Amino acid sequence: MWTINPSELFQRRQKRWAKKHLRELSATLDNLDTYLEHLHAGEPPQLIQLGFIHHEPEGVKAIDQKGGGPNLAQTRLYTFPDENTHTLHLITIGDKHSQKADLKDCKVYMRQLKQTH
Amino acid sequence: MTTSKQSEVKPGTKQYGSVQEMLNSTLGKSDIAAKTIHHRINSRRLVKKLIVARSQAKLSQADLAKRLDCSQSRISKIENGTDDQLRITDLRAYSRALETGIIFSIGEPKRHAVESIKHHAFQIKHHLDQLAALAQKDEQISTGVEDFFSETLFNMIKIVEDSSRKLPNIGETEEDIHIYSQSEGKETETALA
Repeated sequence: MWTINPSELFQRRQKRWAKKHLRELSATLDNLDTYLEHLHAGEPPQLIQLGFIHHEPEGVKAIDQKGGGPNLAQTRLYTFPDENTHTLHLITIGDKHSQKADLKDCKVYMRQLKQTH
Repeated sequence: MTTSKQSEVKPGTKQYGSVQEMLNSTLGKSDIAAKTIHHRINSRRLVKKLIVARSQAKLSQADLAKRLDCSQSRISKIENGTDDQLRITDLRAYSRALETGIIFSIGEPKRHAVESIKHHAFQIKHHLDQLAALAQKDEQISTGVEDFFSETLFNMIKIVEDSSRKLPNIGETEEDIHIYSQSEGKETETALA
């Protein structure tokens, strides 16, 4: 059974998105729920192909808002599925403008995660 | 570009079993945003089962559309829609195309888990009987089925034992469970506790 581990950064940003971009957050978290369904079904993370998943460096998977309706702002929820512990790490959430900084945060997060293993 | 504090960019201290559990804890059960997201997720439970079933069959939306003789946009519409928009014919079509069964369970919600376990137990018995019948035909198959039966027995006991451990006060009455199995003429004992 997979569990979710949201970082402090994600939790802080989630609150902001809940206030300012609720439709986008709702669509993205619904896609996250779909992704979890696949993981629970025993599918290997690297083989899960879904229209809303983008494969980023170091095994990070970015989940977007696709399927949530028209005129939604581009949103990316950066996750890392750790197969050893069956933990889905929620690193951060952002939009097109914050993409570069978000990927940097992912890099820092992955470095910290490797140190704890 | 938003900068973030280094101290925040690390794994959180809490783990959650589902998106909804996480939202209840991080945003609050009565938060309007949490309620909106809960509603969306709950409205698509069945649709998601279909998406997973298609994915496990290693079929893209286009592949499935071909099998069902419909357009890819029709499949996309089903998979982006809600459970309320699903038609019985859609479920039948998915079941046929994916060569998988779809089981409906109607009953008292409180007894759902128990009824479900009983249902699956009967299904397991049915399939084991099918394998036993198959074993009559060939000695090699018979040996394979026998091994599989032993493995199944072990796993079933292990599953029940694992769940039993989650019961309250189990530590006070807990007794070790031992499984005896015969392999290559030797009797071996496996303790599950």
